[in-house]
Amino acid sequence: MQIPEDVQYARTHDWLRVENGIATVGISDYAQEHLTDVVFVELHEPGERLAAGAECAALESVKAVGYLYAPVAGVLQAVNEKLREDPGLINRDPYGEGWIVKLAPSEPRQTVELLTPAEYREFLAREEAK
Amino acid sequence: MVAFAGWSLPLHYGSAVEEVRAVRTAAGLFDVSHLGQLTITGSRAGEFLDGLLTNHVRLLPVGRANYHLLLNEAGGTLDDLVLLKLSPDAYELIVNAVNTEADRLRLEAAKPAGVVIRDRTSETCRLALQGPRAAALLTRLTRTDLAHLGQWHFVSTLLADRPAFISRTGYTGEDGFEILARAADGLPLWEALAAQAKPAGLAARDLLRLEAGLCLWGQDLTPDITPLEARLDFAVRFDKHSFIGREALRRQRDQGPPRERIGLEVAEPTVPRAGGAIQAGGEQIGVITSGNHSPTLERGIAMGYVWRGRVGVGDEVAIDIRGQSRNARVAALPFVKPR
Repeated sequence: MQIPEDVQYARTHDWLRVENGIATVGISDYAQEHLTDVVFVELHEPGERLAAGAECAALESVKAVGYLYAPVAGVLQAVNEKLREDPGLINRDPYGEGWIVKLAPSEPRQTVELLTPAEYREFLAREEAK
Repeated sequence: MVAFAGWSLPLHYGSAVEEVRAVRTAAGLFDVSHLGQLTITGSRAGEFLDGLLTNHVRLLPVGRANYHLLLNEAGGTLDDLVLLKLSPDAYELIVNAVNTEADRLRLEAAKPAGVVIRDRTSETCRLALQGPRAAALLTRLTRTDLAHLGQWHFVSTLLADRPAFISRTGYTGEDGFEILARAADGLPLWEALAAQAKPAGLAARDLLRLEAGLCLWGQDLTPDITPLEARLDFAVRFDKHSFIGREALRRQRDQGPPRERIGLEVAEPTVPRAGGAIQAGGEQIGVITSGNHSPTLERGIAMGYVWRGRVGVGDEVAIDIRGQSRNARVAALPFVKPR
């Protein structure tokens, strides 16, 4: 189970990495493993304003539909166009090439409750125990 | 690993899509030991089972398997199963895992004196090796000429020196075999086969059977659906003078079943799911009972039930996917043609 140290996590299994004021967002390794093979991604239009926790992409897999929830409020800057042709990137490289959206966080910053990698690891252990 | 009918089973071994591809092009290996296995023995076993199940039992030759429905008195489907005839007095029923105990109780309640029913699910293992290369792989491990074993035939033989029943049956639409062996031999047999075939899980199994247009009990078959509506007429033998549900089915056959199972292919890049309404001419005509993305066809496929005679193959319909109306076309079953 990959839980990289350079990102923050939401309880909805989304991750967030902020660089140069832009937040890159995707789903965690745990999420992609439970979702199984992603076959279609429904992406929103750049320019859309998103509240913290708002649904900002639909991920259709062979098992179910999963959703990406914006960990931080802001404006949708970009979507990963590669996912239209190769949605499996989300499964193969969820924290790298499988990133889903980029947001410009609004000021003052509003986020969902964000977990550190250690807190997310603990959260997953409790989820698995259920 | 996921919980399924009281068992812990692998959903996938990395990628269900790759597992489906392996089965369609080479060979995939499934552990289906969770399926219920009921052994029925006794001099009246054949007569007993003929009165309970829809397909032929006494007329089935020894060494053959066939597909049956177990019905209620209204003709609704309580289970679908495969029967193996070991001798006129001995049968193995392979039933859906979720129905194992319910089926056992039904059989116990209805059996005549002298018929013995045993649940042997935990005493045995069952592996399914499916795909165009399955025969070639399996023949390396046995002296029996499996390549020439007929469809729906089975043999008792040694596989990797372990006693096993091997049947030319499956749930994928590909050529393949199902292996029934002692539980203790499960792991060694798995290891021998997994060296050459791709391990495949529940998700791939469900995708393959949907591509093959095969029903899943609990979704496409339920106590409210008859085998005639499901277009499983081949498994209903009206020439048998009685079996549970025969009268109700005969009436339905004579009047025409109210609904029929159809296949759908989705034109748009989205995945149809069970529960989605099927619409034609602005009104709802039915509902999807199984839906998913077909890795082989690279589009969404679904099965469902509509009012009989409303649509035909090639007709366009609308289906509801997550609250939106999407275009689909009625398709012939199976979606992926058997070789």
